[in-house]
Amino acid sequence: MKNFFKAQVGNGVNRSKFGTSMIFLFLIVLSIFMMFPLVYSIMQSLKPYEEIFAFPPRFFVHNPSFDNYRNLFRLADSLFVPFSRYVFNSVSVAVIGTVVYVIIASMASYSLAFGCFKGKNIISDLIVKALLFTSPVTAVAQYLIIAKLHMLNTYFALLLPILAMPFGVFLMRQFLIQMIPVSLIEASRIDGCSEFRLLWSVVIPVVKPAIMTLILFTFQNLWNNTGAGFIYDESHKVLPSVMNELIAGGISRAGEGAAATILLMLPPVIIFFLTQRQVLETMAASGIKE
Amino acid sequence: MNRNLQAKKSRAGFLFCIPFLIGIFLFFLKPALTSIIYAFSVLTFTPEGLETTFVGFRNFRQALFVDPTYVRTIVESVRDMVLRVPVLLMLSLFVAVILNQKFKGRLFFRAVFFLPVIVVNGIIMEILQSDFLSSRIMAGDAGSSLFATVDSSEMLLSIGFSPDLIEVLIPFAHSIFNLAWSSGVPILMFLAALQTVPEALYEVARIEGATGWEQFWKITFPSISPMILMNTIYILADYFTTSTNPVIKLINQQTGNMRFEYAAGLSWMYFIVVGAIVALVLIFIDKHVVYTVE
Repeated sequence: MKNFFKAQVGNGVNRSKFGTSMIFLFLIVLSIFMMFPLVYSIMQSLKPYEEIFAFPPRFFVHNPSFDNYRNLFRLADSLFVPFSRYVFNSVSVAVIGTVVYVIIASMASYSLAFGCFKGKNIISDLIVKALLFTSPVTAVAQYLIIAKLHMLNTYFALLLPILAMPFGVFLMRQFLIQMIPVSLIEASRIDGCSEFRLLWSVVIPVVKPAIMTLILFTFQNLWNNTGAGFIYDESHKVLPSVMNELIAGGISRAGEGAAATILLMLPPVIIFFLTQRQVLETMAASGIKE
Repeated sequence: MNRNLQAKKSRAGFLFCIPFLIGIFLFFLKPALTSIIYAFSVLTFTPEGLETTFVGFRNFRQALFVDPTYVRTIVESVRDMVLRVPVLLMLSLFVAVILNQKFKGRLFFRAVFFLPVIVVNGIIMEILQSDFLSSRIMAGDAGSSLFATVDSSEMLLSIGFSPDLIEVLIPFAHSIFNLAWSSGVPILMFLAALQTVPEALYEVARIEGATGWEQFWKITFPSISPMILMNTIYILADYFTTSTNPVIKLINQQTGNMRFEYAAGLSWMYFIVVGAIVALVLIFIDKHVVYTVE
């Protein structure tokens, strides 16, 4: 009898060996599909010229070399503006933007989840509408607004539009509703906790994993932003657009292109590994149970 | 006292929203409204800036009755959605349920399923898509997007599959790719939801002798139904607005031709269609969602 219970704890159900292996097989097949482009770009970036243009093409690299990376850096050295300037631009925009957006999105999503004010539902609706309406057309009007604010060619042109990103608020609001019992909020309010303190010392610690997820998404989004249309001044450009220019040689830059892909992937992946415990083990650790 | 508390709460709630509201007003609402004006006009470029002349429904008429591709593309896109969204929803829920269980390597698999979300975006995608080899091999296969066809066909060729066989396999692999790559966020949201289901419920069910199947449908499914609703919205929004969606490609093309007014007209009609679909889906699902009442 004791054993009977023991076997069921954790997994919930007893599953046959066959079932388990089928599920593992399914996971593995899907994982291969998931990892394929990543592995492929790594392979491409390590291939020397003759292998990139080999026919029939091969998936695996035979004589790995770092030539592509070396060439990429040589190209970067020949630029008019020092390469470090672009790195600085990209990193500062991504970091500042992430911090600002995470603060704004947590505040907004908190009030949309637990506040009670007129227009709450209208705003929530608006967020869903905004999710459905990411269109190149608003980009034209956005450009006009940025121009009117005299912010073309400044970091603000990259930073300001993120204030309106609906996805983070949508995600956060969802996490908040899922993870925080209303009774916790009510109890704190009755005890006289100010709304700001409630957000800062009750809500945020509980949803730390969700915050990490939000950080990850926002950083990734900002990091990949080319600033196309808003930034023409060479010294204010960010890495993705510079990389794009560097490898614009088409066929002759195929290897460097792959190397650039890998290098651009690195920062978000590093952030991912720094936050992965929180993001992946998520809410189990939050300690709030009804 | 109670009224005071209410007033305080409402004020604070609103204050917290203000920065975001400013953002959404400046960079979403205002541009959206401007684009409505564009949709009803003809734009001329003057040294002073854009000049709009009102022309009524001309842009819309052209899109609906003259443009040979617009209506067809939308219909196709909606048809694909009908197939894709339920499959994606089920797939991500299934994967999330598996990943929520305790087994060895769980963290590894979670990382694998989540990693694409981080690297899939923007410029990296463009670089991968414009990869020379990819485009050469993709040449015969129009309408393919992502890495899908590219890499898989290349890999299959290198393993030694015959081209004929590849032609059959590729569309299949292509859709699995697309599905797998858009399942990252839904899986994450489902995982979060699954972890909030009280363990006590399962314990009771086990003691009462419920099977795993019953537990899923009677406990898990109702508990996470609000998240199913949210995920449906997300998946729909994602599907209709990614840059690989054919309609979005069409609109982008018009913007590229500097025909902003026509592109605005196209987007607004598209938005109305998409909005109507989402509203219908919401009404249908919302009836079945179980909201826990405390």
